[in-house]
Amino acid sequence: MEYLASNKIAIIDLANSKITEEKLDEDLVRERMGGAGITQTLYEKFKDEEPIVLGSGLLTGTLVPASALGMITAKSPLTGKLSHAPLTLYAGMELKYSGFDYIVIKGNAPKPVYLWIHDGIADINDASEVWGKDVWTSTDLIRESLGDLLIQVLGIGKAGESESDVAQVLINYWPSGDRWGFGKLFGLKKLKLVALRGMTLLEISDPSGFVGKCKELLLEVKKGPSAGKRGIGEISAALGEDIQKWLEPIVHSHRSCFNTPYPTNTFVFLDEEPKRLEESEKNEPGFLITDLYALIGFKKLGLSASDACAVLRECARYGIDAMAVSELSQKSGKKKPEEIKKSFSTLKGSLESIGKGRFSPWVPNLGLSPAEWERRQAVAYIFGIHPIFIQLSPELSEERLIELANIGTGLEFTSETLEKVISDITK
Amino acid sequence: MIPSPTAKNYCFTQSTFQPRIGVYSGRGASHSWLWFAEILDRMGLDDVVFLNERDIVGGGLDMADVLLMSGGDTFAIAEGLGEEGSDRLRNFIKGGGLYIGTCAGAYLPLRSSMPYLNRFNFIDVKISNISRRLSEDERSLFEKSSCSSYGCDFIYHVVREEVVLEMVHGFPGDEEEMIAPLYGGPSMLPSEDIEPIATYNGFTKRTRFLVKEELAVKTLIGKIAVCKKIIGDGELYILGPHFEHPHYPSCNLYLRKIIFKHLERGSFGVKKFFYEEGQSVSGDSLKGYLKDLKRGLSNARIQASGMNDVNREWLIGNKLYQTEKISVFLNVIWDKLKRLETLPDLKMDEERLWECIERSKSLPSVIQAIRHKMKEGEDTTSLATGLFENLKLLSACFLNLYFKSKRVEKERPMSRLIQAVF
Repeated sequence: MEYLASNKIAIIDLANSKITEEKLDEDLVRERMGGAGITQTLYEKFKDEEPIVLGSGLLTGTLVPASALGMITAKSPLTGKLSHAPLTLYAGMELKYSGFDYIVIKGNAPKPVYLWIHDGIADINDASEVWGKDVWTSTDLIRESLGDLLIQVLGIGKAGESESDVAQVLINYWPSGDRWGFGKLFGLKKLKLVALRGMTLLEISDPSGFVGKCKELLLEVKKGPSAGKRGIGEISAALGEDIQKWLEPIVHSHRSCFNTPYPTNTFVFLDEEPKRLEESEKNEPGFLITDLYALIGFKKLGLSASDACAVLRECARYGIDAMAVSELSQKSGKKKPEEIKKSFSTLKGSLESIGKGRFSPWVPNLGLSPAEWERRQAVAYIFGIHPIFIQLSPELSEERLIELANIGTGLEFTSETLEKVISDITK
Repeated sequence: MIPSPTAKNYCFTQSTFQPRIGVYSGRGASHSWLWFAEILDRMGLDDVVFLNERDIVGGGLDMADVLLMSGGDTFAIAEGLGEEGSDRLRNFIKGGGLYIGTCAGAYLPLRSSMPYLNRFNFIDVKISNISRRLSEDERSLFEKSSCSSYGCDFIYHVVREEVVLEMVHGFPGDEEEMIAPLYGGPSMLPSEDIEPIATYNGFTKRTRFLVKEELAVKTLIGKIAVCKKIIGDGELYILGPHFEHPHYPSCNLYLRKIIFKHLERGSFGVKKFFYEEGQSVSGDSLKGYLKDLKRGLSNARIQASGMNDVNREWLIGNKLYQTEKISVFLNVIWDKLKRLETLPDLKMDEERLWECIERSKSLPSVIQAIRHKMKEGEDTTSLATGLFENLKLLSACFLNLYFKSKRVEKERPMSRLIQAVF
């Protein structure tokens, strides 16, 4: 695979610390395109060894608007099904440039380890210094040790280490769309985190054609339905859950994922004056809200916006799925922040919020039928497009994405190929 | 004896007859010698070796046709080479060698009474950018970053980035004007000892003025930017601007012309190549070695990337080094390493490769230590000095391997053909 790829798959066996590399077979790409099409194939290939597969989409990390998505594909401890969790913010992009297109992690390590994936090198490192630490502390320690704040960390906290069913894999400090308990899989494998950094470059088959089409598409997107909107509040309004007034007093700013025209994340100041514009004097002034449903869940418990976000922060540090916490707290009648926080280590119960399909229900359905929502998610996971933004932007049509993939890779994907891959990954 | 090819037939016999080029990367050299490495690579000139002061004193020039001396700290270069290095250099040129000096490498052979530099009085020419030619008011205009101490005087710099040159005595067919980057190189006054090739003629939109334009005009315009001198059978080309900067292909091509014109003088092609052949490594073992080297480099690149937002510079000798210079060295090695990996049947000298790996391994912890000390507000000059020294040694060691591998690769089909014929 010559273009838009590093042309390498890492197979990492934690049981014996063996790392092998395979080329990304162009025939595999022709047949399965990319993203979830290939992570699923790799999962099937190694499924007897309980693999966790990391991957990026065909267009992830490019100039294509919203090309921010990477993914974790594994069997969910909650559903027992193969599922995909989205990697947004800058994690998908960094994975794409890490020098590996896909990473298969199999086997269980005998003692805590972390993976350091950088510039086409995969290292299994001792994690004794970070094991037992919360997500925020371990992210800081790893970045400090490896030397760069741009390192993206997919990590677990105490929830994952203690193999909780609702443990989450977080991105740096912030909750991800892992509704599947993948944090438990990390914990079972004694895998504290995966640190990603890549400064490799990707070749494009037709660079000027690709850039031209991307610019054209971006101009259209900027005039589309998402134009002028921002933040998690506007998404909630589209769901009929108006949290704007409730949240507004603590909102500091809105933040986008890599190259995504709509900022789907909202930063709130909890320990700092929200309207402050200059650099905060506090190390941890607030929290980045990345999980709308969890926020709404805590609002429904009657918490103030500050308390809700403070609980979200505690969930993130502990590495637990905040949506599961809000749902189970509701069921058990816990409504005070302190009692919710205390319940993290003993949290159990059946969940309704985990969804029925293979794509994470972390992504809100903004007015589509369930079948349409699933199809748009499949498209997002194949091409590497932000799974929330793809719903906000009809300009990112299947035809346009196929065209861009063809220009970028020099391959000839057709709508029939896409149809088949969508069908396979939504079965 | 191998016949000396002319420039005309050179292009047909390029893989066999290549000028043996030494690039100085030793004491006092900053990072701009890496530009020479880049453009020689682009030109397909592979008979290249990177020499430090010990190599030169030890006779390294005996096997070279050309010595390229780029920017840095002229005093440190002169001190490093010492009297013996000066003798070696003089004999090299007299014996038919070509010396091309840019910036610090241009100052080195100019007449000077300063200690160390006074051993290199190969060219009797005065420079216009010395403070004794300034009024008191003008002298006070210069800050630390735009001048270098020179006894009671100082060498001063009036612009950086682009300047326009007028080719007053170039090669037939040369453009009348060229644009070249200037980062502290000399502007020279007319002298009977030199043949002027180009003069400073103007500025562009990209010229960064360090002083008022009138003073820049007074110092530079009409002064000599490029000159030539013949000594014995050899030649010296002195270039104030960095003609080796890879962003200036016209300048790069001019350097190529100088080298190939020199070949017409005759002594080319009779010397043995520089290297001693060590034990080589290939196949899976080599892949393992290269992966280890990549690991060290990648970790260092990432640590260096973490320092990119730190606006810090160190004065090492008479030269300022900024934090981003760390990445400059690392990225050159990284890019060449990626190219090496694409060569089929690659073999490399095991001992030198091992040296590269060991050097690369030590880099991340040093960069990390610098970052930590900087956070604590401690002085990091000593660590930075060691770091840049190691980066230079690593780069030179690796680039020696790189060019050797390219040359071997280029010669392979021919040697196979010869074997088939005989």
